[in-house]
Amino acid sequence: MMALAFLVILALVFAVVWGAFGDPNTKAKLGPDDTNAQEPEPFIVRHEANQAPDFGVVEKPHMRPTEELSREITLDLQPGTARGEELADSDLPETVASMNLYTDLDFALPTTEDPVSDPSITGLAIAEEDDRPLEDQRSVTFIPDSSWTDEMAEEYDWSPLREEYPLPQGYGEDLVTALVRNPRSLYVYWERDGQGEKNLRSMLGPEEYEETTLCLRIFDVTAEEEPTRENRQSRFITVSEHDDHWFINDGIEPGHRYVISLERRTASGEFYLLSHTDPVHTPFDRPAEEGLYPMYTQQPDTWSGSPWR
Amino acid sequence: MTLGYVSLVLHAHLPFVRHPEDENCLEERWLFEAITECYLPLLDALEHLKTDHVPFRFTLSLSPTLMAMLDDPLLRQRYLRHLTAALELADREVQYTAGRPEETVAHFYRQHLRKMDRLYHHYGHDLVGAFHSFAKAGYLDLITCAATHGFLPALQHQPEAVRAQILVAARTFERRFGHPPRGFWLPECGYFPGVDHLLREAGIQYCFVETHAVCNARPQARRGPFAHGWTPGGIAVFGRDVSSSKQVWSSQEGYPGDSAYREFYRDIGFERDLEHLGHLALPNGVRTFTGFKYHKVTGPTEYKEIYDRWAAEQTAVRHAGHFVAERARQVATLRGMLPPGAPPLVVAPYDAELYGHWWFEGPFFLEQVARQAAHRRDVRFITPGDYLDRHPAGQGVLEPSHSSWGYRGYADFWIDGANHWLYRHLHAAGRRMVSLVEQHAEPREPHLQRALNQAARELLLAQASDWPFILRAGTASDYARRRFQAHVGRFNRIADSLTTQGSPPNPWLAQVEAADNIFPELDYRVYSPHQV
Repeated sequence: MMALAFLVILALVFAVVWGAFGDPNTKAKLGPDDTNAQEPEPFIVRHEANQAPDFGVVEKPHMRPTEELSREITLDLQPGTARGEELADSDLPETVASMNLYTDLDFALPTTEDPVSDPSITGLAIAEEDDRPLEDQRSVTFIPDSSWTDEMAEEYDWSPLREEYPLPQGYGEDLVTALVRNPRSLYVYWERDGQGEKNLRSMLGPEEYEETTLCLRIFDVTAEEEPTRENRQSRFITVSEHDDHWFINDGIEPGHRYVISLERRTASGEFYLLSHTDPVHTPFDRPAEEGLYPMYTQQPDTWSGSPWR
Repeated sequence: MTLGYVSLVLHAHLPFVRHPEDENCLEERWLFEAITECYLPLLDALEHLKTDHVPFRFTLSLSPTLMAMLDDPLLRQRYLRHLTAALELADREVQYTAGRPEETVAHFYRQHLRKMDRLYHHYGHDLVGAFHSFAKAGYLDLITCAATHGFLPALQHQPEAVRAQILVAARTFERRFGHPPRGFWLPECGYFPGVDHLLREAGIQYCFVETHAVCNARPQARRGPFAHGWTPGGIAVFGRDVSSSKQVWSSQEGYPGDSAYREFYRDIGFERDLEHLGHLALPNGVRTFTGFKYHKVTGPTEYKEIYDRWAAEQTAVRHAGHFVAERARQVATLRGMLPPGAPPLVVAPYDAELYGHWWFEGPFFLEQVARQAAHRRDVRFITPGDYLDRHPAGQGVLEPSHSSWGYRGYADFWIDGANHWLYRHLHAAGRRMVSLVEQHAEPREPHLQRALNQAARELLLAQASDWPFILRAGTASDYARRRFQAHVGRFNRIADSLTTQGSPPNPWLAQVEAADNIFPELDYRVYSPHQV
């Protein structure tokens, strides 16, 4: 009997892992998935203590820049090509050109007509005279809506605007979201109004379920280029049933990637996943290692290394 | 010989505050105070520069919410009423202070307000148009900012939400000024790796980040924040310079803390009789700032001396000279320290409202900086766009680190015990919006389209970084909470009725549209996850 039950659970776990994480597109979808008319599988993964679930999330390494990319981007913006040309010639006001900002280092005096007393700059003047289609107009096309005045506002019934809307208690989802606060702190909030816990309860039976505790697990997934279960480091924080958010202020390192999961932990130390976040990157809090650059953070007269002294 | 360049960048932003239902809304005063104390004085300074043919160039980011408010007829009308009330109070103040030490200051305020009034009428109440005219004359480079100033790093796992913030802003800018924006001010300098791709998608060429975003970039930024780097997504990023910001920003050692400048917190709004204050006090008896402040900073004491405009102006001239000389010294030093290459660029971004509103003499200081800089050859004031045209290569490709210019340099201020609760609702609404767009990719009925557009507007308004900021700062927490709740509530009501009844009730929708009337051209499909 026990062996049969174990087999059933094993089959269920396999199906869930495949269903929930096998296809990354499934996870990325927002909102109801109506392409799949089947009853959704319970969102539970069973795994042993100290072993991390496979989130099925493998991202490209964080550092993307290459020499080639550098050339590509810079070439794209050389003056005389693409937008550079447009701005250097046609779009710039005459005054700017006369300031010689683009050709010479010397400034010249502004020469245009008084722009403010020039009637062509006020929105209405242009709007009345210019009968070209809107997208062809290169000047101000704004026409203020004069339909609202204080007198009209007084006569209007604004009672719907004074209604107070209570914020919903929840949105009927099982989800965890993590936001980066600083290189050493994350904010995590969660919701568990969904099916996850009900399914877990029916799976474990009410007695064993009552003994589980809610906890957050923090997985450091920084070295995920070759994801193996061994290099996943995790720890957990037991939270209360009433909690719906947590500020994780210790154990978070700059320049790392984390996945936070909401799980239930049994008395014997097994974890059951309810939901998890996307990987979040904590920012670096210091300059890149190689050849530290002396940053200019002091006033020049206290900067002893200045060659100008 | 030019040793280096300086770019002054002013970021003008106020949250969208427009309450047609409340004639005397306290929060609308934020806009009115900023117009009188900041935007008009800045335009006045630009007028002076133009009259005297002083060449100067700086960058101004106008947030789409601010532009919408400056263009709104109802708010323009209410501003005029506010200005008239201030002029009347100025007259009363001149009488009231006759023979007292404050008398000269009262005369100064009357003269100053009359000038601002003349200027406002001179521009036909169209301040965005006035800034545009200076942009066309070459004094300004106008750039844009996220649609409702959403703090993008907190939305980063919802690329559709970030894309909508960027695209709506870029389209609004293009509609208003006739050309697409080249530069983008990331709200709160909030950068995260990946936002560059979305900026590029919207045709943006450059953006600004906090100093440590560049200094902690991978690979190493060899020129630090003194030249732009190209992100892997193809956006030029300019890092903020530390020393120039500190000189202006810091309340301890910065210029605005000088004893000769005007003290911000002593205001007659908290001293005079309510009757005397007239319309500048709220009808329910709530006292607020009037802009009439008779004292100078004096020192770290309760005792404050009477403000002396002449002395303050002299100090501003001196500080402007110091600022320009320091920048010259800085670029000369940098030129020697940095590896060979393009001349260094010092990027000095500030909140525009610092100039004038917090630091009353700020616009005057800026004008003096322009005058002092005009005859210098070693350091020149240009815009980041100009720098890109001259030295496009920058320091090659680098990935700036996730950062902001707020408290501690990251997202601590916007994701904090006081405001964390709003993100779950914000993110849920974002997910819901995307699924609504998927359900209604081709709406057939116009009223359905209207409802979806309004839902998108409500979501954008809820995403403003101002609400978590105010909640954390604790300045107008109740207002921020109400606003956030109202926008999320209206969004949910529209979304609920779209799923249950087909569309929300028409009179209700019309009223919500009339109140939250920002982005009239918005197309909700900007939230489509399949954008190219």
